[in-house]
Amino acid sequence: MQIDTSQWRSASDPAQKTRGELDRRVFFLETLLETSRELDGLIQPKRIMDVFLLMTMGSLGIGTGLILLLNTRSRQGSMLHRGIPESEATSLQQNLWPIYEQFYAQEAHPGLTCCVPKILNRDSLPEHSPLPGQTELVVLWNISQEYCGLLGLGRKISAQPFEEDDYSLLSNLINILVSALSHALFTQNIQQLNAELQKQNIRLTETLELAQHARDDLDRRVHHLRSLYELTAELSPIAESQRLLEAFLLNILGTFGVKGGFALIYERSAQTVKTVARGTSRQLHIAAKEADKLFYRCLAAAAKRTMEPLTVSRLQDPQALFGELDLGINMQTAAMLVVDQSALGLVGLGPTLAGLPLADEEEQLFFAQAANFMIFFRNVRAFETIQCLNEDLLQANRELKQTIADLTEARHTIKVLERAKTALKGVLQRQADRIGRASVLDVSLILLAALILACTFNYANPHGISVLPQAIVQEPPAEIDAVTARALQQAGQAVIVDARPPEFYRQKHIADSVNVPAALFEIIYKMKLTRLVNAETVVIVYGRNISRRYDEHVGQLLMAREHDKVRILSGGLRAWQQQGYPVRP
Amino acid sequence: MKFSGRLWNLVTHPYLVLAIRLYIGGLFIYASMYKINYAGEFAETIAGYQLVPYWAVNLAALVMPWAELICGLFLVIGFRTKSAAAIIIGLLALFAAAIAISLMRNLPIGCGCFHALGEQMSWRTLVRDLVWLALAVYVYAFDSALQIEKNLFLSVREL
Repeated sequence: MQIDTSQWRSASDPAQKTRGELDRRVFFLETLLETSRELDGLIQPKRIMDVFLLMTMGSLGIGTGLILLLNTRSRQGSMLHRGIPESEATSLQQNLWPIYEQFYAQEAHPGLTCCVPKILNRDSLPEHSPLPGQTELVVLWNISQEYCGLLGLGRKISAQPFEEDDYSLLSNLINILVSALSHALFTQNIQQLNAELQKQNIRLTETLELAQHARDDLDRRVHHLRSLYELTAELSPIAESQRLLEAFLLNILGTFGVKGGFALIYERSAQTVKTVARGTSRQLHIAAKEADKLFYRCLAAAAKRTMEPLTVSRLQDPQALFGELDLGINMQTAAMLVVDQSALGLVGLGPTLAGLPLADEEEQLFFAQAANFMIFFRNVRAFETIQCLNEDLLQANRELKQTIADLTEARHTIKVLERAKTALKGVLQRQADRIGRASVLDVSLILLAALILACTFNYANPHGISVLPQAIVQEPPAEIDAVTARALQQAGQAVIVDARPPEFYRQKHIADSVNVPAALFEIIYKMKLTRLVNAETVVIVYGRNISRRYDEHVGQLLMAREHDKVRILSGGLRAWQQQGYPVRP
Repeated sequence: MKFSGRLWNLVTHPYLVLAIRLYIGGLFIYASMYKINYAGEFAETIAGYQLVPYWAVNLAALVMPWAELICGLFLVIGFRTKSAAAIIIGLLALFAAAIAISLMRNLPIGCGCFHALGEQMSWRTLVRDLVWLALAVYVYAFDSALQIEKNLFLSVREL
């Protein structure tokens, strides 16, 4: 705080002034010191203004006074007064801003600057001042561009006018006030800032806590999502429902650190149950009928009794539900899965490695993974169905190809059969025609068959005959005419032999001829011819017709008996008769 | 129905024709037996007729009995009865002609129909052959019963 003492020094220069003058100055200085002490340590502007107003009024001996502190930015202010009626003070309180405009407008007081108070006596006051009528002195001061103030003082109790020393004291007091208010406002600002900062800190702390919660929540969600992602990555490449079930259970057990559990899928339409159990040495086997009953019990114990597709329901008291499965696992958590109307699933989990059931969040993740599994299971089932359909389609294609090949072959066969049928029909028609009539072909065939059979039988028959007569291939004996033959007969040099069968001989023959048919040649030759014929005798043989050359045959037989003079009668019996030679009978 | 019609029906009755067919068939089977076994003697018989060229006598003696046998069998079993009857008709006509010629020639031979040493050929023999010829024609004209071939054909057609 600076106190202008130059005036006091100038006043003290005439050292001869009276002691009263010095006392008064001492009083002023003490007033300033006391005011400064009183104001020092105060941080409430109103309190400062109140103390200042009392100190100033007291030190100057003034009965009424007021002090204003205005905020030019907020256009608000505070006022303290002493000795002013309350009604008037209230009016002033309601017209603070007009006071400011009247006294602090630049046009009105262009000389008013910061930190330099301006004192206006009654004569300098505006005519229509809103200040109380008893106001004798007004001091304007600025604390900063934001805050300014006004001190209004009434007349002295002593009714003396204000002197120069009063102005000087007042100016110094105002400086002290300004300094104190500046400090107080600054302190107040700092306090406000501190309070604001504390509020901000509290909000920041709350925000940090929220952020921590959000982070924890995010971590949980990340963990959930990672678990779901890992489950998805593990289940994605699997295309077989049994393997999918096994992979799902293993993933669940690994994710939650569960000692053991089981999972089963019951397909009601196909009446098949797929099961898998881990963490136990016992096998899980369950028939379709038992699975049906088990699912009815589970539906009764489910938290959500619904058969809506892709629904996961928590099961109450899993140990009681699955006790009869006898897996040796203390079931803690279980869920029923409704894949669709025809496929239901159960998953039961034992305690974690810490021996505890799944926490709520873990349970939620477990249900989410179960829901994820159901989607995969449905896809795999659809894939299996498609695969089955594809296999059926391939089989049908193969069968169709085979059928087409068979049909093609059958068509070919039918064509062949058609041709055969046509040919057969023709044959049948011809045969039918032949049945009703005699055909040249049939006759020819019968004769041909007779010829073949005859030749074959004759060839095999020891009494068979030659097809052609021997006379054709053998050299016939020389011929002799009837005249010569008659002459030789009459000369007794020849014997005439009739070679025809006996019945022809008996019918007519040359006189004195001997009947020697070929069939009886051996007998007759020995009995007759050996007596009639010798080496010089000419044997004349006759007898032939269109069908037989008996003479040649017998002539050959005689020549075979070494008869060299064997002759054939030329013209036979007819030529003999034509010559008129004798015949018998 | 008129008497003539009933008589015609009676005469042309299938079973009557069948009986005649069996008779003719059996007759020819019987006649062929001896000729097949004694072809040489049958050849002499043929030669006795003096109608067949000497180079064809043996061949005719071999083939003719087998033709008789086959035709006789066909008539008995009812197979190709028309053709068999036609051949028998031809043979009987041939025999009748040969007998007639031989009778006119006054050849001293037997007919050789069944045995080489049979009875002497006579006009009675010719009449008998002509009767058989008429029966063969009758069979050819009216035979329809128990034809194995026809039954077989009907079965095939039904199939």
